[in-house]
Amino acid sequence: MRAAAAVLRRLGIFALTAVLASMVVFALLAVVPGDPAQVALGLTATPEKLAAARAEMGLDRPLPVQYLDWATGLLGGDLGTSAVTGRPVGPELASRAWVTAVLVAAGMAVAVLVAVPMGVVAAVRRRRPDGMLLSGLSQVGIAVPAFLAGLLLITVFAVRLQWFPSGGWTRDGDGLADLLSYLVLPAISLGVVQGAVLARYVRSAVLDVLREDYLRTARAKGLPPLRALLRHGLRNAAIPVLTVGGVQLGVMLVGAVVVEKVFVINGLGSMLLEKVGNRDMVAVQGIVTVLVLAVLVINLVVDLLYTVIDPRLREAP
Amino acid sequence: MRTFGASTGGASSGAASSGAANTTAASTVEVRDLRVHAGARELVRGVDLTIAPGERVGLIGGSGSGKSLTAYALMGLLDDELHATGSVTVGGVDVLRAGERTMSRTRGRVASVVFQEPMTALNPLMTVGAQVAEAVLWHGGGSRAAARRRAVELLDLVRLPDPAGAARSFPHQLSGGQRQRVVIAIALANDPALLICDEPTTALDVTVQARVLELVAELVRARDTALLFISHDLAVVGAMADRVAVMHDGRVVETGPVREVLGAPRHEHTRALLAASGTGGPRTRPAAGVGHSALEPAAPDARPVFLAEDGTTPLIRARDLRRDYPGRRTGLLGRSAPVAGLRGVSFDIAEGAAVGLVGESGSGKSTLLRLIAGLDTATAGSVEVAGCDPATADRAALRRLRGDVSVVFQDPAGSLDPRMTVAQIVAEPLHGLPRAETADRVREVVASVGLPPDALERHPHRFSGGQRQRISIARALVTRPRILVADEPVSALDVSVRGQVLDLITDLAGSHDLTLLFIAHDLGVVAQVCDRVLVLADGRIVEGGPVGDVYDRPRHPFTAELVAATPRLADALRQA
Amino acid sequence: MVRSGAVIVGLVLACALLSLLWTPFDPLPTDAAARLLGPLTDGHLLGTDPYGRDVVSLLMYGSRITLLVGLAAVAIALVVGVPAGIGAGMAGGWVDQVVMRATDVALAFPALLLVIVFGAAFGAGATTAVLALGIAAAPSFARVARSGTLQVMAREYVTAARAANRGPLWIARRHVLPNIGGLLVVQSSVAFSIAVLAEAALSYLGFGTRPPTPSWGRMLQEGQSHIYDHPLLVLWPGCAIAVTVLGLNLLGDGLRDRFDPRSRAPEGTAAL
Repeated sequence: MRAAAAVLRRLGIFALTAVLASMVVFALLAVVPGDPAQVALGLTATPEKLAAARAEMGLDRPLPVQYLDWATGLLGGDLGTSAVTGRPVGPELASRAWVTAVLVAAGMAVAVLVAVPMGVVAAVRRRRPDGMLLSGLSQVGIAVPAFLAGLLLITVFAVRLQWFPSGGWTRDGDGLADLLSYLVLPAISLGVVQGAVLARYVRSAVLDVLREDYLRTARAKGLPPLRALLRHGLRNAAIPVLTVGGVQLGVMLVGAVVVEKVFVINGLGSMLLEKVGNRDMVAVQGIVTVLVLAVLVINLVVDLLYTVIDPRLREAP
Repeated sequence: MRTFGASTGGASSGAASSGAANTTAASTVEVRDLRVHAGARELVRGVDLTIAPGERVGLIGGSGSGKSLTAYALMGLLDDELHATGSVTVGGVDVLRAGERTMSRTRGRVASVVFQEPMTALNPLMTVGAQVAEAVLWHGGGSRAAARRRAVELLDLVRLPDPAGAARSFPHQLSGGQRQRVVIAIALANDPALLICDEPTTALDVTVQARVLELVAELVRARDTALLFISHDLAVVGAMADRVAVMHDGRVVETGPVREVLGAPRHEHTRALLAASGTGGPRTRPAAGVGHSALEPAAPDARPVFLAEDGTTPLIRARDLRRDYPGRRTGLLGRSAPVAGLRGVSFDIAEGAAVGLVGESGSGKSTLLRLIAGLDTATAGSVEVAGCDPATADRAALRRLRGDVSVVFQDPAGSLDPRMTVAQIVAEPLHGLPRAETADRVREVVASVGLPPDALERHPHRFSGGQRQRISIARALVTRPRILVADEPVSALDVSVRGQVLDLITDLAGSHDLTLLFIAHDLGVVAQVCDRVLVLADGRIVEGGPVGDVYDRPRHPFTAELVAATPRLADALRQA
Repeated sequence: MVRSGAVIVGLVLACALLSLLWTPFDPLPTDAAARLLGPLTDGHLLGTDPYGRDVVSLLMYGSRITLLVGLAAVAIALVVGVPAGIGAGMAGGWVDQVVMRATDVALAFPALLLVIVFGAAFGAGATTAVLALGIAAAPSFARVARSGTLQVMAREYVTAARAANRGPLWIARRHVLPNIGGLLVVQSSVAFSIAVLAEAALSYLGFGTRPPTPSWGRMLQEGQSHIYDHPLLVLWPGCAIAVTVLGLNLLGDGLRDRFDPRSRAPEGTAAL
């Protein structure tokens, strides 16, 4: 009962935040200098034609009405029609978003695979050379921007060794092996750096847990150190790490922009850059909204996961 | 009388250790020349200790005496940075030389330990039953289902109400006392030969402490388990042990039967501990969610308790004082019924009185303090302090009031801003005085609490706990108040300095004509400082009057329980 | 850790200051005759870029941009975030709710996205980038300040100050701010390194400093097309970014250890 109330409360906050965020997106891009009608018709258009086009696009109505119109469309999955291409934004966005989603999921998988073992070992063996080495490595890893990692990976594995293609994405009819060959380098360059960041949080969370009295209780029962840590420590350490992981997933969603450019992948990020470049504001609005909502959904999922892990949170605060 | 095993590492204790060699084979614990180093520092400096099967030994010492480290060494649980030498044999296992494999079969089966802090000793994410069952399973307790059933039995053994329900609950759903019972159940799950208790009740309320101690004593006696009971509190150790060893500065300085050591102490440190005993235990602040001790709700006794003499105007006057806190959130907008902090208290306190305010955590004593100091406003009723009601007072009156009432807080580490100098801290309550006069007042008051003049420019962390509490007292007195409210001012201090701080408060209260309101969780301290006492339970005043009357002839059942639960050295010695 | 971090950051700062007075060559004008020279030729220590500009001079000039963007972004975040956070923590109630919901909304916009949106709305450039990075960092500052404030407000010395009839402004100035200062310094170093990384990424994408002003990210972007024949052109600015961020992180971690009492090893024993 209390748990249900806590979840409801969280959902309420999510809905409120989503509405506010969509207003911010709309407002930011509504004040953009430049007239969409002009963009659509070109510089030679007559004032009459412009006015007619504006009326057709609904630009002559007050902003709140325009927002409501746009938001209602959004709820039905309609992201509007581009003034530049004259086509609806939704379908293109969906196909591009799929690419980015695969890339980010693979990147996150790499990050977790790097971070958890690295962080745990660095914490448990913090006073031994190997533990310190891992701490140092993660420190260096954080300092390397993803696009630099990408360029280095291309130099080594695509140019010199020619193990993987230097960029691009699968076409229709390609198999899973092709997808993987395109995915490996971008996923690593996106994931390794975030993995290094995450590893530092894993390390400090595990260090905190190692100091907890309940781990001492577990040892006093007879559990050997590693078993005590695995049984009692990891789930407790997961709580702070989950927060950071959620934030990182959001960062990666946008950080993929850079990696997509490095590896010439047609994802959501490169679409955003394109649309900003040719001032297709309806499309930009759509992409930004989708990204922001994705971040909010990630946060929501993370919060709900807390309630699953931690019984104390099942009771409303 | 049982075997004399423990001998001193440093000072000599004569004939005591002669019999040790003969009992080696049979002893549950055999410690020889245990030394623990942290780098170059030696923290434990050659401890010898023998515990016979079923024997109950107390280990006494102040903080930093090395008593807890000795316990950890016995369990083989010393931190990586610490290095132990000597020999430690527990139940035939050579602890310092045994590998992790052997130790993991020893811990929890041959020897178990109950730690000080019950609030954090259990994994918050696992049910209590699973944590008890784990101890059974690990040492080969059969099937998972059998271990679960055994866990419920064990929870019943430590007398948790509704053991099956308790097994399904999570630690945060239990009170501090209940959690400590769970830890005891885990420790006794495999019938160990030795149970180590490291200050197991210092974090608990007095009445809860009494019940937990009773339980431990009964269980070890029934199972003939050897007990090593560690505490700074002589009265508690006296009640729990047959034999005691006193530790100081890494050494055992005195050892022998309880009656001898505590009745006729030979070492000066033992004498110092004895002199300081009876001043209550140091308590860590109980975390949120504690506090339902099993006592029955206090009788709805709303009659005012008048501590002022007839005909005089009371300095503090409370009528039907009530303070409710908002209830828990229950849904999106809903809240459960408000929680009462104070349920209507009335009393008068005369100018110049020294009044103790006694109650356990959650009794409402801190709420009352906040109301009197004008830090909070009552939900209903009124309080008048030096002729001023903080709820209705204007700015100027409130300012006067706060000059008249000063507070000394419980924990000097938390009540002094670490980023300020002593001079800045002490000057904080002084408003609008010229710089020179402020400096004079500060210097004067700092000297009057017995701190050196060069203390002024230093930061609080440079001082010991006792000195910090002197700083706190100086800050309280700098406005020349009429009322001094002391909120458990010595309970966070080491036993050895409590007496001095209490004496200082008593002296200053006398010399400054202060009305003293002294808040405490047990009766011992109050008896030393106060002449009157108010007993609070569950937001109500259940009893009040002269200290002697209340202690000797308690009328309310709660007061009687409190008096009975307060560990007293004399009782302990009588039993021994 | 603090020391090595401070040394690295100090060196970058010295480079930036020095570039105001002197660089080996003028970093701005292009020279078709001297393009893509290898290291140690014609007095060019690290060679020249595709436009014939001296790499060392470009790196020095770029450090100026990097530090300026980082400092300005942190300053904006401090000015916006800290008062909001302290106010929310001290006032509680609806003020707290409003500030927290505002940070929720702001945190839904990752820094990079905000810069691109700002760039789309107001035109790309260093000023928009700095503004957007500062605004993106402000909610984290507000949250850190708020949680620090809540901790300080729960301490008895604040109760003591209230009992001494001191008002909220005094408490904020004398107790809260000094005691959360450490947290804010740590957060600043974190935000600084995020800003440096973001600025590099943005220049790479063409949303940072505009040509011809050189920056490390733009050097990377310009070097990318020559990655097959002149990989060093990517390596130099890459190293400059990595080393600066490493220095900032070392500084931040060291300061965190100093300010966070929990990170000090407890006395006696630990479980493992």
